[in-house]
Amino acid sequence: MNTREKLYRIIQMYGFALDEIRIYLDTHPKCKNGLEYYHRYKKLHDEAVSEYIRLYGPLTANQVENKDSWTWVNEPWPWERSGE
Amino acid sequence: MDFSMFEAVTHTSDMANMQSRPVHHTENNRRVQYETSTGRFPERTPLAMAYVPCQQWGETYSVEKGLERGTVFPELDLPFAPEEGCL
Repeated sequence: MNTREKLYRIIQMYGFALDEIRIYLDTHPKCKNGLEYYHRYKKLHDEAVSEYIRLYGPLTANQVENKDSWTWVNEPWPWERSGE
Repeated sequence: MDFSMFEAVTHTSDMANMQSRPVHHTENNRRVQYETSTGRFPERTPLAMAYVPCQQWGETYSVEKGLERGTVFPELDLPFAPEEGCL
């Protein structure tokens, strides 16, 4: 796993934790612990995503920031893995 | 949404010694006896209704383990078939 793939994996982990906590908060909207969990991992997730974009380019097509070239099509695709 | 009605239905510590015990209940001053097989529910819990205990906040898995187990809540980590090496 190269560093890009490691960062992508971390983004997946944070993303999944957010998926879980959103469902929990739907039925426990005032739960302090739940809210704290959500804000903690939201911050970590967003930081990891902007780091990925900074280093490797957009994770999704609507994250292209480059004005001269549609960097979304550049190799590799975010989900691609080098042969283990 | 008010979930407090399920507050009483929690995993009480004395779960172990819950046996079936007759519950006396008066209805329009006639003594009605209900046999509660699990005894976990508060008395006078209406019959023939499904109840889902309300999840209480507890420990969470690390995000790494959460992604692997399919949940960050240990109490919801309920695989149908226990994989080898897991139990």
